[in-house]
Amino acid sequence: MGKYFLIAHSNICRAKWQTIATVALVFFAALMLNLWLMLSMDYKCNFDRYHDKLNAGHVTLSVKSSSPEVKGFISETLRKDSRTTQFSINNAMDATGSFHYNGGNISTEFIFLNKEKAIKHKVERIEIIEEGNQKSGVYLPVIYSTDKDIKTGGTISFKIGNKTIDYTICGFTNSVMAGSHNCGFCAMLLTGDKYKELEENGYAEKSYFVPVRMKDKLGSESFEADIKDKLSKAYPRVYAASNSYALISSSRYISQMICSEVISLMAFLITLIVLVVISSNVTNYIQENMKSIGVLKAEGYVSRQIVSALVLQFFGITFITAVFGAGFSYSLFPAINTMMVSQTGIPYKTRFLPLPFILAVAFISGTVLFVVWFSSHRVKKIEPVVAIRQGIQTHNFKRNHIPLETTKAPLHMALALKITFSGVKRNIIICITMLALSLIIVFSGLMVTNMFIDINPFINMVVGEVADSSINIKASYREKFMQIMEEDSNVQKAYLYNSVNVQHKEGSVLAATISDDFSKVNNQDICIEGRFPKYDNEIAVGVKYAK
Amino acid sequence: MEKILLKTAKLSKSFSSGGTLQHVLKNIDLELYKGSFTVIMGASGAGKSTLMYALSGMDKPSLGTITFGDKVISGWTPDQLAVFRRRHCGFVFQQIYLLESMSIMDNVLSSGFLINRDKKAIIKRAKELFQAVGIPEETQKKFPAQVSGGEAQRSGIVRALINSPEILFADEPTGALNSKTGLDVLDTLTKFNEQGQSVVMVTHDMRSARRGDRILYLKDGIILGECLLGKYKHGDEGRHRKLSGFLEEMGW
Repeated sequence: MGKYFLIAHSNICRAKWQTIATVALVFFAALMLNLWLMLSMDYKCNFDRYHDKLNAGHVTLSVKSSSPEVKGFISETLRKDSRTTQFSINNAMDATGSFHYNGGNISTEFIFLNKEKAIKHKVERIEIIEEGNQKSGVYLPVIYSTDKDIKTGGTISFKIGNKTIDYTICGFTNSVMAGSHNCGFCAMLLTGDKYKELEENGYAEKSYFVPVRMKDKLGSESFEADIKDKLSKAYPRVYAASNSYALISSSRYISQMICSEVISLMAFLITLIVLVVISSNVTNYIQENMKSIGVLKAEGYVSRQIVSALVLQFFGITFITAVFGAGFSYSLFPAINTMMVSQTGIPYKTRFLPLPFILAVAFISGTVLFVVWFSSHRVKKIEPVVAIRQGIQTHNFKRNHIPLETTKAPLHMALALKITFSGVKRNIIICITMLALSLIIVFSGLMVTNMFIDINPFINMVVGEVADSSINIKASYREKFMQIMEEDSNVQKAYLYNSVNVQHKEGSVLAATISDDFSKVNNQDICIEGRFPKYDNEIAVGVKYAK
Repeated sequence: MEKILLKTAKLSKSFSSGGTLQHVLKNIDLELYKGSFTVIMGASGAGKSTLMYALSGMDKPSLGTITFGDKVISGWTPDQLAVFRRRHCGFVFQQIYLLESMSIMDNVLSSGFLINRDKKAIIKRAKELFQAVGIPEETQKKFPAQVSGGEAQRSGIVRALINSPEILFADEPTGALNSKTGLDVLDTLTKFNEQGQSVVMVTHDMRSARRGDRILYLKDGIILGECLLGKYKHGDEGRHRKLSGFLEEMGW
């Protein structure tokens, strides 16, 4: 091994700056890869881990009623349904309101629960993850702890209708199916005294909080639709909000998935750059050190040994750097975790994950190993005496491109063209390398532009209408509301639509958007075939279901 | 009877260029003897270096055979020839070709460690050889760019001899050196030859050629003539006259 280390060490000393550049690139590639693998392999499982740990429901209902008949009906319906394994019907207080969060106002449906009972729920247990010394107040979902103004011991104001209630923040909770305004409703725990106070002041409606566990969570969407159907048929005046495992598990992780995919793309792009740079380094090294290779072959080194020294050099540097890069990614994870918690509302314990670590290091090291071995093929082919002559074959009469004797081109241009044509193979490789790098740079620029600078084009690919504000109004208030909007100079456009669940398709519930005038939709491009409906008997269907 | 180390039979080397065949070596029958100092002389372009590289397995002949001992090496694969070279051959180049980013000592050890796993033994032999060629220990730690041409070339000789090769091939070893330094290098080669080392040297310099005990004159790819000078003795004027006469006959 000593001879390999001697040669590898001498190669590294010869190309210090190239080595440093390679180290930097490999470090970032390993860092990104490990982050991506952690996000995609473990972080995504975080939801299911807590779902099992807290025995959360696969379907969760908030029924705005305190009627024992309604309770009995729900209980009976769930008991008779063979898909149900476990459920509980808990008393709660339900109100639509808002509070200040992250520089703006969050408007959501509050589900107020008694803290002492909620932490003991058999189904959909709510976990306290941070608690202060305060004995009276509210426990908020942990998602809101990412706002620096919302801290244990502080105060939070809830606006319900035209009333404002202030509570002391006693701590933060983790609820899988009701732990974020992105869940459709948001569970807040009140201490006993505050819960009783809320019951008495009538600011919120008494309701039932009904989490249901199923045999097969994959059928959660259709089960949710069935239960709501039955409830609305039996009690048309009773309003029920709901969510399902399918919806929550995907919606709470959209940001994580996007972040994970962006990180994976960056990781692969950087890895591609690493491989292109290393390939170029190896090819250049062989060309520049042709004489030395010839001498080594003259001394008796076989091609395999010379290539092994190269492989050892690059693989050694890559492996060690990849280990450090992947390790360093753990220091970035808390920052990413904070960002993720602010999106998903589910805490995540950062810990060493051996499988992503090994995969990240192995992938980078393996691909570098392959590229070095592949790029070194010239070492195997070249004969010692040709190598000693710098790769120039004697008695190899090449064509004399651009003869200076007869060319009309200026001297410098003629020399440049001569060099270009004489090393045409190498120049083609350089062209391909530059093409790859240009593609990577342009793509990165597009990603930065579309994801950070102006995200609208990206959103307009997938979203029909992007609003600065979304308001739910009662149908009876429609005309008055539109009058107010038209008189308000701050409002550029108010687009009214209604949304109902219309179909169960292979277990999926489809939402239909109903509007008088689809021509007012900002993003007409989402209609990829045909047109938006104009008349009462027309419908435009999502392409996935149109098939 | 002197032992034959290397033998060729109808050794030929040709290069093809645009459909034309250029014959550089033509049907060369040659024997190299153990302990001899064979010099291959000829004008530029005669094929001297091509012959030497073919003999050493650095270049494949187009036709003919090369036999080392009882093994025909001319049909061997590049890896087999590499193994042959590391065990039986040493090379001294005109341009020296020490690896620039290794110290003088490491340049020698990179060759020594190739076949000998006993590092201590190799290091000891390297130091003995450096002493024999007059390179002190401080110089052994220096890099090729930090030493004189003569020291570099003598280090090249040490590198060539580290594995006790049966034949030392030297391609114009004094070509890039001044006359005094060149003389030191020739004295080194002569010294090792006197100790039994077989040497094959390519040169077009008369002063260098005088060191050989056997001169082969190459012209247009064939061995035109051979001159036996006997073992070298310093100040032997008769040797110089004999060589001059031979070269004149050959058309030098």
